[in-house]
Amino acid sequence: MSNYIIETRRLDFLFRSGQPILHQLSLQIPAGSIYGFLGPNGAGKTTTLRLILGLLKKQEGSITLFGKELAGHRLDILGRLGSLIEQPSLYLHLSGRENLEIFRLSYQCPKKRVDEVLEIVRLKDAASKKVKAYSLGMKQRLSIAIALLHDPELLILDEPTNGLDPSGIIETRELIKSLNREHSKTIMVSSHMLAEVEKMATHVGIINKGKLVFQGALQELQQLKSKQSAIEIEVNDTAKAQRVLNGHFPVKQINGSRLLVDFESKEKTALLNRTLIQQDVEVYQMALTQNDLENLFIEITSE
Amino acid sequence: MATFIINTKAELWKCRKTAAYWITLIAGIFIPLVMWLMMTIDAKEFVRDFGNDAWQTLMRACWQPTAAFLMPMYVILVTSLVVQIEYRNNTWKQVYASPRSYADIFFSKFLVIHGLILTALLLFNLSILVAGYGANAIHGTYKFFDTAVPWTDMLTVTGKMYTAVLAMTAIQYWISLRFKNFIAPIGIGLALLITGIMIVQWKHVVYYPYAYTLLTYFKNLNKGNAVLVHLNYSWIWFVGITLLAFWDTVKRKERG
Repeated sequence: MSNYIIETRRLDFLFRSGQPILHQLSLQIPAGSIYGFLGPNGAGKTTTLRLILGLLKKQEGSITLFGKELAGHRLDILGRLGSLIEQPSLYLHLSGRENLEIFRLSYQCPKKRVDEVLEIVRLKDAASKKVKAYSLGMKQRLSIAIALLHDPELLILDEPTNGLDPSGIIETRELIKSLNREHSKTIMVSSHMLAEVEKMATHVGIINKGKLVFQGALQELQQLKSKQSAIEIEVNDTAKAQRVLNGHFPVKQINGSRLLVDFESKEKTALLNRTLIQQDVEVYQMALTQNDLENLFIEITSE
Repeated sequence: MATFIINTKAELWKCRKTAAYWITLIAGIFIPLVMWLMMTIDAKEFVRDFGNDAWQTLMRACWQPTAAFLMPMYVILVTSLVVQIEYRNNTWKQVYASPRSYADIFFSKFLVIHGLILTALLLFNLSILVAGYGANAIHGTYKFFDTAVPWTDMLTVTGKMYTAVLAMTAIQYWISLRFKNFIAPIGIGLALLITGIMIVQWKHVVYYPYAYTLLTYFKNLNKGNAVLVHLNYSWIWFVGITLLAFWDTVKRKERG
């Protein structure tokens, strides 16, 4: 058996209109990891997660969870994972505890689990309130509590921080980290925010327009990111600056009075600055460009 | 099987505090309550009308509006309301992502709908008894205490009326599962019901499920089993559509 809790091979998916959503998607989620599934809105993240959970019928490719094909072992697989897909799915007319009771019956776990999961997501005090009166953050936490009820080995969370305020985002992130560390859960979490994923994931998969453009450990992504980072320099004479830097620091791009040069290290940046000044080029500004997800996509996909 | 029973219990819990519960209660007590009020306020007139055949007359008075319109209308509403709980709360995906077989999900909910319909019928009969005895307790001139409750008739009518709505429950359940919008199953159901009322005199009406309550009560109730052929068709529709709807659920490409 492979060491991957979830593995998809060459997954293709077309909408009824014929519009392709996923193309040859091969995901590998290692056991014990927090796998950040990153991509802009509409990239195909939710479609992928819905396929993995059997909510969408597979068209091409294969989906394996815990080393078993989803198609033939649906009940066994679903019994070993907990999920939260898109907005919270909760019975608003019932209390938090009643919601948990309903799913507790379906998962057939002991009654004491309800209090345990309420404790984990810190909702004990609000357990008897109707879910209708919950804030979005509380609803998300209750949804995670439902996903945890049967103490599953794997959690699949689709944008769990979506719509939360900053403190809610931090709380959810800490919860995910502690579930991974203290309760040894493998967690697949989707997000459209690189910064968010970087703070909790051990592994990352980046999807863009239905294709996997990067997959690996977080360190690999960070290396790639620094490789792709650039320094933007504002000078009085770009032509002269380009001549001065030629051969030592390859100029990637010129935008008006600004030059873009690959970032290598802090020391190299100081040297670059010195070189320009020594050759009488006036430097007005020098900054490491923010490499957000969008830029990174462009960089990765253009390779 | 044990899993199925537990999940049916969970499905029933979901209906708590919802319109499906309240409408069941109203469907059960509304008509007998109105009858009781009328019998209490206009006792003189009703005592004369009811005479020595008090229970049969009261049962007829309660069943007529129920069979003509209220019962099929209740079936249409309760089926849509139970299914709507999942659509409104966006919970289908959570249901299908839990370790439950498709048969379990499909039949447990359907069973809850039938449980609610049977509860409404039980309440209806109990309310008839309460209305009769209640009116008699206030006005001693009624003959409810003096005549025996026609238990057999009560059970027979109830059984036949339940059989008459079986076909409708399957059709309405399928429509409710198919449409996310609450208005669709109710609108379609209502249109089919009104059509049923319109064509009740037609010779082929026995094939039309939405006319079965009318046919059962007004045309054939006291004419023996031979003329209740439409109740057999109700069973056929029920089994056929239930199987089709289940097959459709299993084959769906998208859930929740």
